[in-house]
Amino acid sequence: MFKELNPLLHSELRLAVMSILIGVEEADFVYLREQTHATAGNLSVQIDKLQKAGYISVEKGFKGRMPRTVCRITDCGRDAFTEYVDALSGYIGR
Amino acid sequence: MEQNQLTARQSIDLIARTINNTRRHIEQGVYKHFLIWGYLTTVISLTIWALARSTGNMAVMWLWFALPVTGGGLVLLTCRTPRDHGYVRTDIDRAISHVWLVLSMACLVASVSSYFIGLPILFIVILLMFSGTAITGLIIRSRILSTAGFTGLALSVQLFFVHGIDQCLVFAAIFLLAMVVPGHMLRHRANKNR
Repeated sequence: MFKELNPLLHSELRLAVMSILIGVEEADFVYLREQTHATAGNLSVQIDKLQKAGYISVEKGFKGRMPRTVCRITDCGRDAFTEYVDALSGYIGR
Repeated sequence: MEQNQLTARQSIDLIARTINNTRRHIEQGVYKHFLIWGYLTTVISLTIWALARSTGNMAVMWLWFALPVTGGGLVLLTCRTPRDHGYVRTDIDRAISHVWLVLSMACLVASVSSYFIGLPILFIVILLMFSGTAITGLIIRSRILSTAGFTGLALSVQLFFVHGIDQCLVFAAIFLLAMVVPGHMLRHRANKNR
């Protein structure tokens, strides 16, 4: 019996954002955009969805005079990611 | 990257690729620190040796304190992230910066103490700095850096075969060999991966 894949993580861009944040302490919006090659608008929408689900925390601030949005994965997000990877391994027969 | 639905295999590939890219990104900036500190230490050691030899005035030893000041300034100027580039901080970054903070403090305490009590300060500095290099290499799993660190530690005993101001020459040679050369190798690799 296959476990159901978390629909929130089972989308290319949201999964890419979570995969980046799982390996780092924090990353800003510009870094996430560089790494995912997403448009600012699309990335912003997906970050908002992950934040609303409690998977990431978002801190808006300034670096000098430039606005900066810093994202961090939460414990809830870490658990969801681990569950998602466990469920995936069932699908690919590990 | 659009909001596509993925197969299980595509998801696993995406996760693996993203984690690998992040790791590569961490390794890319490390070489700058090694080039700055390696070249600066070599130049200051040789300057002190040349001035001490030509003037005989041991007050030139105070020039050692130009090393942390100049090096710190150069690191701040050249290693900070440009404004239009993304910012990322990892657990590895934090671990490495804490290791170097502790080792630099130990180095500073030993250097100041050596003015009051007889300490083999160049030997101590090499032990501390190349321990840091080896630890950094082991943390980021860089064979170049861990080899450089252990090479520096092994070469440190060469200082016992030379006496007086000529120790500065051996000190400079060790930094050139075990810090500048690996720094260039890392730079070459980083440019190739870019």
